[in-house]
Amino acid sequence: MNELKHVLEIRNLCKRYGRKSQFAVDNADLLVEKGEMLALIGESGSGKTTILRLVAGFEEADKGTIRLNDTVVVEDGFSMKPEKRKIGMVFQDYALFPHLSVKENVAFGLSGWGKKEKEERVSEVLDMVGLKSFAKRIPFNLSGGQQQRVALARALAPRPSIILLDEPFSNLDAVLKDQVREEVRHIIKKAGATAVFVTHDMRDALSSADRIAILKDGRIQQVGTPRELYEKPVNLYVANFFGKVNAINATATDAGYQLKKGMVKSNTMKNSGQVLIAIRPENIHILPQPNGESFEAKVKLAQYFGDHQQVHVSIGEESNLIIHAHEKVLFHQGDTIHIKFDPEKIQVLDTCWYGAQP
Amino acid sequence: MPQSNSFKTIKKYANGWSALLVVLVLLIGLPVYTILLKFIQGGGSGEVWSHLVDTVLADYLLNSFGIVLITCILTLALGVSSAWLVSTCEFPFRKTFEWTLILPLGIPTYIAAYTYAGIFDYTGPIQTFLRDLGLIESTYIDIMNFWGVSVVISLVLYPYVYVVARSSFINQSATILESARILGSSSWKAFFKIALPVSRPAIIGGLSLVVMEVLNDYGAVRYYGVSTFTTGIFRAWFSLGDTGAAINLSGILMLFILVLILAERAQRGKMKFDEGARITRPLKRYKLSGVKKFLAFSVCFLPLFLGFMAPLLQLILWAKQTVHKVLDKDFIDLMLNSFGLALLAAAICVVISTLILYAVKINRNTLFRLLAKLASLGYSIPGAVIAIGIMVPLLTMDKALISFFKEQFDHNPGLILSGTLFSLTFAYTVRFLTVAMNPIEAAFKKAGDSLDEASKSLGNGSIKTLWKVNLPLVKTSLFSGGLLVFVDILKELPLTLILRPFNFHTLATKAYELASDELVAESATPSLIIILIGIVPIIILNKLMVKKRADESEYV
Repeated sequence: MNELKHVLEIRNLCKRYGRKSQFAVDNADLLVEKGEMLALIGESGSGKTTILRLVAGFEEADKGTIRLNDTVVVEDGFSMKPEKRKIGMVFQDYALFPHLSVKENVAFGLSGWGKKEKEERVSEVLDMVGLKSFAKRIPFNLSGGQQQRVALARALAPRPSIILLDEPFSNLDAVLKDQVREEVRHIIKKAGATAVFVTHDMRDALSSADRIAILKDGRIQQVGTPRELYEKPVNLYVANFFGKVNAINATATDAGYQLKKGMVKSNTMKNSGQVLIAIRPENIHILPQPNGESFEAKVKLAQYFGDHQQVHVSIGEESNLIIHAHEKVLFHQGDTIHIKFDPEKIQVLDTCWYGAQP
Repeated sequence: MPQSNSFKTIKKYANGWSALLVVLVLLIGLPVYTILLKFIQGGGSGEVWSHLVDTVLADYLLNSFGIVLITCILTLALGVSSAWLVSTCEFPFRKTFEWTLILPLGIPTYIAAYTYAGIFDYTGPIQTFLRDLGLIESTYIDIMNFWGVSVVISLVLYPYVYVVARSSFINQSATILESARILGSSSWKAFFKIALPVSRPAIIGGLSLVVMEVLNDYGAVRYYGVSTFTTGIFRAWFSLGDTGAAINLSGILMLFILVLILAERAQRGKMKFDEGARITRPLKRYKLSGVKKFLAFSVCFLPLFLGFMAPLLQLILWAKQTVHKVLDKDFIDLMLNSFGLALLAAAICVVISTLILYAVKINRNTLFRLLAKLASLGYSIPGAVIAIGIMVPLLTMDKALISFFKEQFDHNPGLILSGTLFSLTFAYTVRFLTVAMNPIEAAFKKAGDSLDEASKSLGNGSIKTLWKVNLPLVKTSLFSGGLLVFVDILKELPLTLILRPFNFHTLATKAYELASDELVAESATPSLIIILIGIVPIIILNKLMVKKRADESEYV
């Protein structure tokens, strides 16, 4: 009666390589829902690939639990062998078997199947990835994008509970990338599969993923939809991942945020005391006339970008705030302008991690 | 359940593959630790040994190391000079020399030895020719001595140096040599100051192979009547029947070789830069003209002629005179013996290499990698030493078996393990395992890990993955590894002489026996077969090397 919701469940997962003191994966928790596509994003060394390999079973965890479809695959020194986990994996270099044809590659994971079933399934997935006419070719002769689709078809063929993709777009050139991203998402969605993929490129994540998990130094910083991450980042690292952000030290009071030069009124205050607040450049507005909520600012630099101007200003000690202005008038260095913060869009950041100082 | 880390590690690596690896390595290493153990225990403190120490040990030492020293100097001179010329200069027949200079490697030292002895014999072509010209009366030209054997061995072993020197010279980026020239060095100076120092680790690596071949040689030195460690081991074993003395000689030789291996590793470790040097652009060859052209041609022609063409020609002439006498039904049996045994041992080497390397691949772990290295030690240890190291424990086992059978069944089964084809095959495997391992290891490395992981993620266990993914990918290397072992076994002499069953002959032992019985001309036919088969892999491997370079230069 309780229908399975989480295909993958990761709890307190820890992994250290060798005797290093630094954790490659540090106490990670993650839930992946059925049918969703989740991106693990982070810089190199952030632990994203390690998480993927721990789920696949190619590395062994030091601590923590991994469940796949409610079956425990990792717990307390127990680690199910990778070949038993029923996981589909698409490798960064595709790892197509060079001695087998496209068809044989795709059929490789179907060894227990009947002959007829096998043939049907192979042609079904090849059809899905649009490579039916390439069935007899050997992988070496295919383009990068085609090879990747073969790898995807091979991973999908045994109907795995989850598909893991390791940097799926990193071997493609820029022109191909946009097209392949759409294709891959389309194929996975069409197959009704659940997928987790690893990338270091934010655009991969934004264009393909339903939800994104951001990793830094082995820790998952935040998991959410792209919009949640953009609008409500928990710390400066996450905030910075999506373009420019202004981070300002402030004191939170019942009435609002007290800056050095004035007060931003807000009636939705949760915090009090010293806080670090973040506001995106488009959420600071330039007013024609000063009013009670505005700050006087000096223009230090103004850059014209066609649809907007990027204006760098200083207010007192806050010496470099960035504003995206959509006004018709051009701003110049040395102008005095009046700006207003949109209190609804202010986000208080967690300063324990990566953001003590803006 | 909390577990300690070391327990976890043990659990992680405790699988069927690692157990198999340990067992195989223990078996393969049997002769090595038998000798070392018995040697340390003071295997031969008996009368024979002290007699040997008093009389001939100094001779053995002086002769062995003397020959090593002279062959090192000669192979270095022959190998490096020709390698430098073919890789940096342009002159007539350069391309032909490039691969033909390797051919002397196809002639085993013992065949070269009795062929040259025949050439310089009183009735041989040289003395006959000189007498006909009236240049000499009946003065005897004698090469059957220390100096003669050193030169003859060098003539067929210089390709070890040539091959590594050439590939090192070719792989050196053209820019460092050219910048040396621009900075004002003459081409001689560039050679001594840049090319040689950069290639030094590689050349010494080649030279260490020469040393091991020299220490392994029994046939040539025995034929020329020079006493060395190897002939000493034979004498102690066969003539004096003293196991202890044979073990002591083997132990000394083996310790020396272990030191040599470590020294070679050390010198390579310090000079790592040649490995990093990438081919940026092939060196433009310096076009020689006039006398220089002729000199370069001569420098390359001399080793090729003396090391390959002359002995081959002599063997062909002899074979023409004697082939009708030699080629009979017994000879066919002899060939079947040789080929069958070599094929069997080659197959065993390929299978064991594959199992060991796959076990290491699965359990990526430094200890296992080290174990695999230990299993490949056999090739550097002289055949005679391995033979003693196998004979001693197998004889002990046989004695135990015989007394067991006598007690239980009142029946004497005779020798089951020692002195049979079992011990011979075992010894071949120990000695030539590396030869099969090297190409297979390279192929495994090239195949990488992600294909294995892909196979596992698609539900295949390690045995299926080996069968369906790895073996098809490395099959060419399995073949070339097997071929190399096959050829090496066909040529092998000292080990076969000690371990062969009574009255059992291979092409190599037959050829050597005929030559030793003053029937040199009759030995030509089996010798030629050994040489011709030995040349096949040289040509195949060279073709592969040239093709690889052509592929690479497409990207340059």
